[in-house]
Amino acid sequence: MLFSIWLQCIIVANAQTQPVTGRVTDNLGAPVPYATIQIKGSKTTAVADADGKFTINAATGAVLVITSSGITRKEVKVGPSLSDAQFVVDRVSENLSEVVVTTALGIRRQARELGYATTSIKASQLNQAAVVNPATGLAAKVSGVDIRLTDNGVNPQVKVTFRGSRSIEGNNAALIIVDGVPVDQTYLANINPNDIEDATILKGSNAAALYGMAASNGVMLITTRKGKGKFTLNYQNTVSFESISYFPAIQNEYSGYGGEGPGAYPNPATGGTIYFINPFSGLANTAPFENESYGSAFNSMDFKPDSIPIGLTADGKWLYTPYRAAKNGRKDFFQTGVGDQNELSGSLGNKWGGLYFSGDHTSKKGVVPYDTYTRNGGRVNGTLNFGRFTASGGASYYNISTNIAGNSYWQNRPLYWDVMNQLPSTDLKSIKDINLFQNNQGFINAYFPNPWWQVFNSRAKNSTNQLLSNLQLSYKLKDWLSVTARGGYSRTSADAPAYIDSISFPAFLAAAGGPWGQGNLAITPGNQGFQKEDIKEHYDDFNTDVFLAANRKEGKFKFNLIAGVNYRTRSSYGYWYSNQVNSGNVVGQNVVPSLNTKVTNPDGSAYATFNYKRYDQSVYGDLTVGYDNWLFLHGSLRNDWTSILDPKNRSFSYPSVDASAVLSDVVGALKASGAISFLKVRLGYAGTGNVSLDGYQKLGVMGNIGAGTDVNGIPGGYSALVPNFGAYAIYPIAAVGVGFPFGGTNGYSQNTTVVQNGLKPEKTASTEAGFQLGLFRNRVNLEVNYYNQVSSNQTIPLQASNATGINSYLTNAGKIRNSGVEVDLALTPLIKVNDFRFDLSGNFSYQNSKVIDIAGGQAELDQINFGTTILGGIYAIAGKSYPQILTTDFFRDPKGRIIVDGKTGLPTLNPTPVDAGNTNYKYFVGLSPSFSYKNFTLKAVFDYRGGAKILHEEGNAMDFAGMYLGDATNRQAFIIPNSVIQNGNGFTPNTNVPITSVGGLPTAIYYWANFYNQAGMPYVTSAAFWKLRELALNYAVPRKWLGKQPIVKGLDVSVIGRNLFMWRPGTNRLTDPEFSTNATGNAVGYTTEFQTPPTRVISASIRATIL
Amino acid sequence: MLYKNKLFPCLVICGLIFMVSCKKKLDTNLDDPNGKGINELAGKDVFPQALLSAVTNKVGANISTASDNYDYAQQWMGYWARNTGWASSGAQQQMETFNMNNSFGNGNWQSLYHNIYDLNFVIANSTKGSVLPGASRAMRAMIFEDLVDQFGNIPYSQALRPDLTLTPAYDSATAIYKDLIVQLDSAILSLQASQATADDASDILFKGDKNLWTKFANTIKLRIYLRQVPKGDQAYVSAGIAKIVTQGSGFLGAGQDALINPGFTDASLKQNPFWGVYGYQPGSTSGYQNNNFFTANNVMLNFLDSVGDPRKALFFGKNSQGGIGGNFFGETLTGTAVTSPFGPGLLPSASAPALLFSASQSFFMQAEAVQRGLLTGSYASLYQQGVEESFRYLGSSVAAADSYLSASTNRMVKLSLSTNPLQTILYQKWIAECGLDGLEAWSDWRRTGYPFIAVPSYAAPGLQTPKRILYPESEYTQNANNVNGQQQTPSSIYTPLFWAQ
Repeated sequence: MLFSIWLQCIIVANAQTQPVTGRVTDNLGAPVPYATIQIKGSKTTAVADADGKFTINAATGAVLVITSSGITRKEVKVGPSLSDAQFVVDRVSENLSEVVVTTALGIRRQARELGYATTSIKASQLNQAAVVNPATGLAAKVSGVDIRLTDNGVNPQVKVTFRGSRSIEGNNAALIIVDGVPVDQTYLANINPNDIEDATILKGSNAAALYGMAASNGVMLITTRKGKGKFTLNYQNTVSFESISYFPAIQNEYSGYGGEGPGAYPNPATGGTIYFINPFSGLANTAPFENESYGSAFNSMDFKPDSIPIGLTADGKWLYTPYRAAKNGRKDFFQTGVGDQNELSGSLGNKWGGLYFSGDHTSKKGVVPYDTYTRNGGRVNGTLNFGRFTASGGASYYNISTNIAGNSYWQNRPLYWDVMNQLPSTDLKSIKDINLFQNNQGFINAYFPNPWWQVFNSRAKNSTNQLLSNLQLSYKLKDWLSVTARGGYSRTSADAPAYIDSISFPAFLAAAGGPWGQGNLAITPGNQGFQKEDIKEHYDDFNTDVFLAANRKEGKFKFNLIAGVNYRTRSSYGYWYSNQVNSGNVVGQNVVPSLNTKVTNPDGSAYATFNYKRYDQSVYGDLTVGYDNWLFLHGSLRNDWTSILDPKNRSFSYPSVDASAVLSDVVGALKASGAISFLKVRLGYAGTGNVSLDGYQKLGVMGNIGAGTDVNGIPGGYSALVPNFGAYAIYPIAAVGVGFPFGGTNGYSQNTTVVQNGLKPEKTASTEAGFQLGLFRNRVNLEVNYYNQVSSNQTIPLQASNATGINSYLTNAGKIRNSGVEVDLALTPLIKVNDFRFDLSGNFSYQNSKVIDIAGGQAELDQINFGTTILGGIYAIAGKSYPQILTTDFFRDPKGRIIVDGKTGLPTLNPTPVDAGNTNYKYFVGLSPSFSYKNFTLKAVFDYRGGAKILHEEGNAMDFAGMYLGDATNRQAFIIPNSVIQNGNGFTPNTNVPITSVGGLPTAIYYWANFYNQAGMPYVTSAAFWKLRELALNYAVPRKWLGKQPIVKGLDVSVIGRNLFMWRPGTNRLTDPEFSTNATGNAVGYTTEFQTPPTRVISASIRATIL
Repeated sequence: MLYKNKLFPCLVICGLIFMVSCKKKLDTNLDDPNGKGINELAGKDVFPQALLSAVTNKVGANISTASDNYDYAQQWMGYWARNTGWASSGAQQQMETFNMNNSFGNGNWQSLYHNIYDLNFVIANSTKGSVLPGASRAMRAMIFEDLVDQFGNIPYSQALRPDLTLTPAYDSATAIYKDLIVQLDSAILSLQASQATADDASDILFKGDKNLWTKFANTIKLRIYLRQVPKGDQAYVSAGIAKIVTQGSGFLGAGQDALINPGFTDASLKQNPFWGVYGYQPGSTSGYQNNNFFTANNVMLNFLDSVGDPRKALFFGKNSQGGIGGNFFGETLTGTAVTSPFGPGLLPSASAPALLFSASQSFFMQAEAVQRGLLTGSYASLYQQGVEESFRYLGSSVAAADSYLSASTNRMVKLSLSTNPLQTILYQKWIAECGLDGLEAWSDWRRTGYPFIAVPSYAAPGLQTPKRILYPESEYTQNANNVNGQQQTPSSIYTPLFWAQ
C-alpha cells in the first residue's frame, strides 16, 4: 500500500508538457551516462541512460540543467528544435580536482582527498562486450587486477585478485561488496551486468582497511542502479556464438595400439584374424578398440585396408570406421554454442525517491553438446527521501541452472578426456547415435567410453538460487552529522544432483579370450548399476553496520569522521547423498572422503551433513583532516573479534594512515605551467589482519567443477562447495574409520592435521605511494602507484614428514612480500580530426610475490606444497617468487642435458622435484584503443600477461595415449636428442645409444607412455599470452531513422567479439595458459584434461530505450 | 565538540552493551557439530579403528596408485599375477619391471606411521590397568617391524612427535630391531599386569584376553629374532629366544589365529577388508576391480601341481573351463589363457574375520627355530601343525592335511624324505602364506633364498626381485635432509637389509 502511494507520487510528479529528447555527450563525443537533467526552477528531472540519452517533458523556453559527477554543470535553453539534440558538456577529465569516487562503506568522496589508489569503472566499460559474467568484463581494464578463468565451460569460475598474493595458503581473493553487502566471489557470475551502475576497485589495504579482515585482499564495490528521472525502459538482447578456438596439437598419423600381448585373435567382425604385431614386419598393428595411438602409421601398407570394426549393432551387424585419420574427428565433437541474453530494466524517480527494476533471462548452449546454462532473475531497488531521513534498499533474486555432461562411469573421467582418447580414425559425429549399438552402450574403445554415452547418460546439474537484499536507513542529526544503519542479508542455496546411468555390455565384449576381452570396460569395471549423487547446500550471511559520519569545516580545516560498529553472522549447511558408496566405480569407497557425520545405509547408500557458523564483530573509526583543500591526512583504526579463533587470540586491531597533496594547486611553478594541469602525490601505510582459515568443504565426486588432478582416475572433481568460513578449523576433528560404526563399535582416527595452540591471524603491513598527473588540460592522464605489502604470521600447514604420524602442522610461520608498480595512462583523445576520434588508454602492472621465510629457516621446511599435481606440486619456497612449480625431471648433467644409460639409452627419473618457475603472472599489460566516427564506435581490448610458467598435465596423459603431436615425432628407437652418457665424473654426448624397450613393448610406447611422460618438465611452458579480449563495433541508430513512433527512443546495434585471438609461445601447443585447475585456491599454474579447450565468442547485440 | 551532542555518548554506551551481549556469540565455534575433536576421545574409541587399519593396510588398497598394501610382495613371491593384456602402468609397471621410483612406497609409509600414531594415542589415553596399552605396544612393534622390513633404516626415536619435530631423523634398522624387543618386553609386562576393564569391548582382536595378547607379543618377538637368522648376532638371538621361553606364555597355538572382526557383514564398507578389495560387491557376484585384475601366478600353480597340494583349489577358483589357470608375473596375458580368480580359502565370505597373523605361521616359525636349535622340541610335529593350521584356516581339515603329508612322496611335503628340512619347512610356509602374507614370504626369501623363482618377472628378464622399497617421495619433499643422509639411489632396491642375504 505504502509502496503504491509512493510509486504514484513519483509518476504524478512527472506528468507534464511536451517531450524533449536528447543525448548528453562530452565535448569529444563520448556519451555521459546517467546525467541528471532538471528543468530549472521546477522539480521535473530526467536521467540519461547508459548511452547518455534522455527524454524530458519541457516547454519551449525552459532551461535544462545538466549535472553529473564527472562533468561541469551546464544550462541549456529549450528551443523549438531540441528534439534528438546533442548536449555537449565538459568532462571532469578537464578538471581532475573535482572527481568524486566511492570509498569504503559506500561513502562518496572527492578523489583529491584520498591517500590511496581507487579506480572506478563504469558499467558501459565493464559491459562493452556484452559479457555474461561482469568479472570477465574487467579483464585488462584496470592495473593491478588479475582475472583468471578456469575454463570455457558454460559457467566458468572466475577468480579476481588485486595486487598479487598476501597469503600463502589462505584466501587472496578480493572481497566483493554489492550495495554494501559482502558476497562470495561466485556471486559475480550471478549478477546482471546491466544492473551495475559502477564498480569501484579498492586495490590495496589502505583503501579497504575500514572493512577489516574480510578486506585484506582489497575490495570491489559494486553499486547497482537506482531509480532516477522520468520513467524509462531499456531492453537489451544479445545473441552470441561460441566455438572452440584452440585445440591441442594432436597427431593424425598413427593408428591404435596400446601394448597388448603379441598374438593373433579371431576377428569376430570379419571372421579373419586380428594381429597386434604384424608377423612380417614385427611392428605393432592397429588395435581397433584402443585409446593409445601407438599403432602403425595410416600410410603403412602392412595393414589390410579393410575397415576397423568398432562394435556390434542391436541387430547383430558390425559397425566400422574407415582405416584413415578422420581429420577433426574429435574437435568436431564440439559444437557452436549459442547464447541468448535478454534484459529489461526500468527506472523512475524524483526528489521523493526512486525505483529501479530489472529482469534478466540468459540462456546458453555450450560448446559441449547438450550442456546448458540459464540465468533468470531480477532486481528491485528503491530509495525514499523524507527531509533528514533517507532510506534505500533493494533485493535481487537469481536462479542459475546448469546441466552439463557428467563424468564417465569408470574412473570418473571428464567428457573432454573421453573425447580426446578416441583414435584418430574415429569420427565422433558419425557415432552419435548410440542406440545403434547393442545395449546402447556405444562401445568403440576398450578403455574409454563413447563420449556420446556420457553426454546422454551422465549428467551433472546444478540449480543455485541467490537472494541478496539490503536496507539502509540514514538520518541527519545535524547538517554536519548523520547516523546510518545498514543491514544486508544474502542467502545462497544450491541443489546439485548428478547421475550416471546403468550400463551393460553385450556378451561378445566380455568373452574371455577374444580381442575385445583385453581387460576392457566390459570386464573392468563391467556392467554398472545406476549411480546417483545429490548435493544440497545453503549459506546465509547477515551483515550489519551502524556508523556516524561527521563533516565539519573550521576555518581552513575540514574534518571528516566516521565511527561505527559492524557485526556479521554467517552459517552454512551442506548435505551429501550417494546411492552407491561402496560399489560404484565413481562414487566408490576410495573416493568418498572420510565424512564424520556420514551414515551408511544397508543398501549401500549414504549421506552426510555439514554445518558451519561464524560470528565476527568490529568497531572502527576513521578521520580525515583537510587543510586548505590541498593537503589531506587520513587515519583509521579498527578492532576485530572473531569466533573462529581461540578466545585468547580472537581480538586484534590494526591502523592505517595516509596523506595526499594536490601540488598543482599550491606550487607556483606548476600553477603557472601550461602543460601540467593536475598533480597529486600521496603516501600511505596500512595494517590489516586476515584469519586465513576460510575454506570450502568440497562435496560430491561426480561433478565437473575445478576438477581433476589424476589421469589414473582419482577424481579431483566435485559438485558443490560449501563455505566453512574457517569455523572449527583450529580444533580438527577425528576421522571415523572406514566402515565404522560396526554395530555399537565405533572407531576414530586422529586427524592428519594438527593445529598449533594459539594460532594468530596473519598480518599485512602495506605501504603505498603514488602520483597522479594531468597534462595538457588533462588530455593526458597518468597515474602511477607503487606498493609493498609484507604479510607475516602466515597460517601455514607445514608439511610434516609422514613419519610424524601426521601430514601437516598448521602454524603461524612465514612471511611473504608482495610488491608492484601500477601505471594507468589515458590519452583522451589521442587523435581527433573532425568526426573521427581515437582514444587510447592503457595500463601496465608489475607484481612480484616473494616468499621471505617459512618456518624460521628450518631448511627442510623452507618450502611447502599447497597444490599437489600428479607430476609435482605448486610450492611456496623461501627466497623465491610465489608460487613455484616443482616438478619431476630426468637426471641432467650440469649443462642441462639428459643423462641416459649407456646400455639402454634411457634416462632416469630424479626423485627430487625440480624448480620449473613461478606461476603467478608478473607482467600485465592492457591496451584499450577506441575509435569513433559519427555514430560508429569501435572498441578493442588487448591483454598481455607474462613472466609465469605453467605445467600442462594433460600433456602427460596425451603422451600416454600417443595422441600428442610431440610424441609422434619419433616412433622408432631413437637417440634422445641432446642426451649424454656419464663416464666417471664426466659426460659424453650420446651419439650411438638409442632407447631400448623392456618387457616386450614396442619402443615408442615404452618410451613415450612409460618413461618420457613420467617427468613433468617436458610439459612446462611459458604461460605468456597476448589476447584480443574484446572487439566491439557499435552503431547508434540516428533518432530520425526511428521515425515518429512513440515507443523506441533510442537504438544501438553492436557486433562483438570476445577472445578472438590468442598469441602464445610456440612451445605451448596445448591450451590457454590463463586456465588453471585450481580456480578458487592459490595453487594456480597447471592445467589438466578437466579444462575444455579455449573458445571464442562472437555476438550481436541490440539495445533499445523505450518510452 | 562532538560531546555537545548527547547522542554520541549514548551511542557509545549502546555499542558497549552490544559488544558485551555478543560475547556469547563469539563462543560459537567451541563445539563442532560435524564430528568429535580428539579431546573428546579415549583410547577405546581409537583402538578398534587402529586394529582394523592394521589389517586393512596389510590387504587393502588398489592397483593403480599402489601401495599401502603388500600386493607387490604377493606378486613377487609367485602368488598372484596380472590378469590383463593391458600394458601395465603406474605402480604395477614399476613392480613388474623392478624399476621402482620413490612414489611407490608413499602410501605404505604414510598409513603405517599414522596407524602407529593412533596406537600411541591408545597407549596414552586408555583406562588405567586395561589391556589396551600393552596390546597397542605389541601392535606398534609389529607395524614398526613391517616398516623396517620394507624400508630398512627409518625414523624411529624422533618419529611420531609432531609437537617436537616435523623432520625426524633416521635410526638404524639394527637399533630399531633391538628396541622393538625392549618395547615388546614392556608390552608383555603391561599385559600381564592388566585386568579386565570396560575397554575390553573395543578389543576386536583378542577380546581383552591378555594371555592371547602375550602369546601374540611373544610370536612377534620370535619373528623379529628369526629374521636375524642366519645373518646377525646369533648369540643375541639365541639368548633372546631363550627369554621368550622363560617368560612362559608361549606362542600363538592351534586355532589361535590373530583374527580381527569388528562385525563384518556383506554391506557396503562393512565387508571383510580382503573381500572388500579382492572380492565381490555386496550381495553380488560382480567382482571389484582387483578381483578382475589379479589371477593365479603360474609359479605357485606349478609348484602346487608338482607336490599335488589340494590347497590349490582353496587358493584359486575355477576358470570358465572348469580348471585352474594362471599367468606368470609380468607376462602380458595372451588371449588364449584361461585364468582363475581367487579361491574360497582366501575369500571365505564377506563377513569372515580378517587375518592379521596366522597360527600356521607361528608353528612354522617355531619349527624353524627348533630345527636351528633355538628352541627345544620336535620340529617335525611343529611343521605338521603348521600345515594342519593352514588347511584348517583355508577351510579344509586337519585330517586332509595329515593325509596330504602322509601320502606324499615329495620331499617338499614329507619332511622325513627331505635332505634339507629347513627348505621343506620354508616351502610349506611359503605355500601357507599364499595370498595371506606376501610380506612374510618376501622376508623369508630375502633371508633364506626360499622359494627359488627362476624368472622373477617376465617383464624384466635377467633382473632380480628387489630387496627393499625406496624411501617415499614424501620424505624427499618433507624430510629432505634426513632422507638424503641415507644416500639412496634407484639401485638401492638391491641393497639387502641388515638381516637379509
